[in-house]
Amino acid sequence: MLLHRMARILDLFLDRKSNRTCEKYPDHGALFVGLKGEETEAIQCLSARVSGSIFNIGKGYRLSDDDIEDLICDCITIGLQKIREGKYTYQGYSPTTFVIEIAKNRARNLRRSVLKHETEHIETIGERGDEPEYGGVAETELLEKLLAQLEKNCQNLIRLKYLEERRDKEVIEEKLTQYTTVDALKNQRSKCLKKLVEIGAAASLFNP
Amino acid sequence: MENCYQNIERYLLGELTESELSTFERALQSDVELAKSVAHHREMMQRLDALRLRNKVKSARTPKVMKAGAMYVNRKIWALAASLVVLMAAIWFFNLPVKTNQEIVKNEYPTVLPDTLKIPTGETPNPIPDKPPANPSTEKSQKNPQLIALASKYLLPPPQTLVRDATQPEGGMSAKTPAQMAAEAFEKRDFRLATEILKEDGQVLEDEEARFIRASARFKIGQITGAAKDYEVLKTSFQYKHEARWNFLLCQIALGNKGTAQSLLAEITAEPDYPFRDKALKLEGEIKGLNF
Repeated sequence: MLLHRMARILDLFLDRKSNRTCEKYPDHGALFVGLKGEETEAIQCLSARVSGSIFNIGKGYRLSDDDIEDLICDCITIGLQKIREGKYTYQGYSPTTFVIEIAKNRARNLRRSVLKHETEHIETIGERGDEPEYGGVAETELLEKLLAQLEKNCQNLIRLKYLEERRDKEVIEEKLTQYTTVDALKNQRSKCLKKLVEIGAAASLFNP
Repeated sequence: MENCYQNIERYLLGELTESELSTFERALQSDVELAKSVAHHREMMQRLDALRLRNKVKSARTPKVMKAGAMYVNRKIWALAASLVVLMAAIWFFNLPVKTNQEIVKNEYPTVLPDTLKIPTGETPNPIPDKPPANPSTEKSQKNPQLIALASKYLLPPPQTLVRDATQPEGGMSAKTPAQMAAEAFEKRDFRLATEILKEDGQVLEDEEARFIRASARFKIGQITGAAKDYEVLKTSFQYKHEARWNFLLCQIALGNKGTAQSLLAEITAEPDYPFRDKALKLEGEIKGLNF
């Protein structure tokens, strides 16, 4: 009982902290715009607002603390992805609610995967999400492993373009690679990407 | 056609020129493998983008909000820690050293008080002596060191068992009662402290042992009148009536109340069953020698 009360007090304290993080985003629309622009402060605000709820959802599904921490990252990432892909558009509702809904679905699936042997028959019914979500911890960890199988030079080219979003011209100017022209850089990266796709295909990464 | 495979990335990034794009799209219509490869490239790029976003989320959470997140994740630990702090504070508070009555007395009366023969206030007045003095003129206190020494010699102290028992705290009780502290002080021959601890009549009103200790302590520090009053009250005690009667007599001797003392002594010697009759007879002889 005492622990519960203390936790509640902490919740209040943390909510106040999230309010401070969100000063720049006074309403849902402002937050949505910030998230669409992938602003770090907007992500921090969203994170502060959803963490407590996702924590409770995770606990509700008896997930471990580590799994809950991953779940929080997963849901925010997927939420951002949906916004980026135009699958989630602003309609006056809070992005927080949207992310929490993602969390509910994922927590349920996570729990089911933990109890897979008990719920295998349910899994086959077709509970899997209709749209692929690549922002989860499992998907991203797998991709990191595949990337690691590339040569260093290829890894660097892919990272600069896709993970750090560096412009080709900038990469050449700053001499971040061995290539001296944008064309040479693009040609080589194209080959590297093709190689990565082949590694992925070999690892059954893609849907048939 | 090989060139088309090299242009997949540029096609997906929208970097192909118009002529390159039309060539590529024609190839895409006819080449199933190329179409499959484009799909795989597209998915790979989506996956890379998801990885980028995830890294961004992680880094956004790490510096500031991660702390909040970690607090959520570990909030039970925090709550436990906070509860422990509260518990420790409570333990500390309830275990603050309690100032004992003895310490209070010592602090309040740090110096030795002058001996007085003040009659304690608030006591139920019992006439002293219980019988009118034979000669009121001689009843006036005549403090005589010899008489006091004689009285002290014959004074019956509180039974040793009474003092020892009183110093033992009762089962389960950690703090000593004033009576126990007074008994302890008495045993240590700190008679003044014993007297001070039991100076309030309320402390001895229902406690004959405590009154006996106070009376004895009073006598020892020269508060003979006060001692006499306590012994007077104890004369009705079932347990200490004989000792009280005897000591009351000695108080009268010490106070120089000749008439009262002689009267009481005569009564006692006349009682063959009185437990201290022998002492009384002996005292009688000694008193005569002092011209009392």
